[in-house]
Amino acid sequence: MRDWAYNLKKGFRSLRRMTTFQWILFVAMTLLAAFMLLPIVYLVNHALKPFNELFLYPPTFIAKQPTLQNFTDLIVVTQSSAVPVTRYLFNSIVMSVLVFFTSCLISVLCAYPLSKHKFPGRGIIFSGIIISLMFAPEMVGIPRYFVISNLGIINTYWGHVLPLVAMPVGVFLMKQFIDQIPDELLEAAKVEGAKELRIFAKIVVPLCMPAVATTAILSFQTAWSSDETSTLFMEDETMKTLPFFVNTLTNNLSNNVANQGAAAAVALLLFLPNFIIFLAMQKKVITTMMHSGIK
Amino acid sequence: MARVLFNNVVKRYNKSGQLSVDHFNLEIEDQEFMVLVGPSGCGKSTTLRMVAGLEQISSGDIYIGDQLVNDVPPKKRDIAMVFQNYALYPNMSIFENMAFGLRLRKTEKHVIESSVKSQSRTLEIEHLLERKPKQLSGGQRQRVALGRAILRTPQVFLMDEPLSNLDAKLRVQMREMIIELHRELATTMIYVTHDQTEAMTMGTRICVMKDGLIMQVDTPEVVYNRPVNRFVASFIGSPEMNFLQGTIMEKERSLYFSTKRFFMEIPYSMHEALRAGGNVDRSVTMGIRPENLQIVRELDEPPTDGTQITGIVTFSELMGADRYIHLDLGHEQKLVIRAPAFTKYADGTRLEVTMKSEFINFFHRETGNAIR
Repeated sequence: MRDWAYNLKKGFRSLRRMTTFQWILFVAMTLLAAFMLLPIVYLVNHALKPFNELFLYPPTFIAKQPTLQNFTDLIVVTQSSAVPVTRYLFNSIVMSVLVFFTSCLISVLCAYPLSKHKFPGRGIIFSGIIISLMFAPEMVGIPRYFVISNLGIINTYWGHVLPLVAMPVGVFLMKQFIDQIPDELLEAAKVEGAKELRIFAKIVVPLCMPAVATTAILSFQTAWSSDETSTLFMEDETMKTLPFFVNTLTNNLSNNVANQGAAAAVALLLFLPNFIIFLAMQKKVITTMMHSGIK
Repeated sequence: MARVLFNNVVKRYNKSGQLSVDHFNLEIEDQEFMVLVGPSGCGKSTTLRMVAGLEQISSGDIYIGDQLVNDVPPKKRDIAMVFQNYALYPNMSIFENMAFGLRLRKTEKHVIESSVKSQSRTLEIEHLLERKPKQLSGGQRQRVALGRAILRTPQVFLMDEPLSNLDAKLRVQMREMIIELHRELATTMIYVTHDQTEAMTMGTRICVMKDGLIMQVDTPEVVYNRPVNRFVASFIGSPEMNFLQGTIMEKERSLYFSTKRFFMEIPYSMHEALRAGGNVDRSVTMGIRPENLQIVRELDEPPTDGTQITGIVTFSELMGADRYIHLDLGHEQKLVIRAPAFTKYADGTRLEVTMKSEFINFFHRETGNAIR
């Protein structure tokens, strides 16, 4: 609490020292930040609006009579259908958590030797990974389908997780980050008698936690908001995920008005985990961005 | 405790490229403090890293003790290494940093605890054990790194410019500390530096290197007073040794060193070497250290007979106890004299100097090798 007061005091002191230009910048940036916040405000309020407010014209930002009706609707609407919303939610959570962990693990396992070990073909492998960043997922949709189908993992969680596990961005971020770790650290450990696995687990991974956090956010966001694997590789309705369900709610049903409330509720549900994870890890993300020289 | 033996060790980074270390032969005795010194890129760090096993040897053999270690991994060589940038693990506390190696060797917990504690007490870092390396100053970090190395009780200590990142005052303190450590531990140490002062003060022997080749290996005194070539002569010692170009002339059975401005008699002890090399009537380089020059007197007029060495003061630097006086002898020849601080001459003064002729070194004009 005292820390907080101290920081506030310090903040005010630096406010007083600002030049005119800095003031203008300060105000402009604050306005911009507020503007950027609007969609989030709208999203939250929209989910809380009662049915009559959802279709108001002009639309309002703030819900006048906030209610949780939309969330109950969501459950009720889907209870009558074959697959309840909780099933989609469960699928989404399983898939996202699996992708979250495996993609981090694989990225760091891949980045460490690329960064710190010399072996033939290292440059080519890294270039290959960078080049693969340029392919849009739509481009590789069909070949990917063949791979998944031939592996016989259609309608399984494997089909959800495997396409998202390889994350070139994650590998790139981690490699840039591990490049910053001085070689002497690893050499010191080697001289002291540490084996490769211990060096990796005790020194490299703890030191690149910021990059791991960034990769974790990126992979979680991709997995959590991806309806691609559900559309392409899942025929069984019970294996599909929440983002896919949102699409069917608003697009595919004949009655577009009926489920707007439920859709608003799901939209908030989709947004919240991303938001929470980002808030929790944002400090580390900024460190990564500084180290890898990208924005 | 072990000797380290290099036998024709070669290191080549590229197949076609230059040799980083060129047929390196050296025997480092047990309990010796060997300093590898040379300008950057001379292969001294590479040599050290080959002993550590962090670099592969292109050809040749390295022995630690009686064991051939060419293909032995670093952890089995029983060595400890201290790095220039300390190489402390930033994610671990100081205690963990020091205990890391012991833990890897599955030392018992209470042994680790007590040995880390007692070692940190002798290094005066006991109060820092809970902190992270980031919170320590450079000197403290280097002491932690030293402590970590000592705890391993290795056969050989390897130090790669451990003091280069410290400020001048700390460097002197740490230098003393390392010398003391060497005396206490009585372990073989190999110390790499580019700083000739460190080399002179710390080493039992100095190995001067250039372009991957050993120039001279000897005690600091010999390297300083009897350098084998011009490179060693100018690299060791600060301010640098003075070099004068001139010719050896014979007159009435005695030898003289003659330049365009003056000539001087060469002591009899050097005659044999100069004659044997066929250097009479040839041009050579003479080297003399700044402290072996003495100011005789101030002159008003330039001399005419050439028996005196004279020059004009271009500038002087006060170093505290000493003053370095820079003289211009004319014909692009310069001299630096180390004089006591109270000797003060205005720039432009003409001075007569003499040389302590027993400290003169002669070098071949072309090869730069000492004539002796």
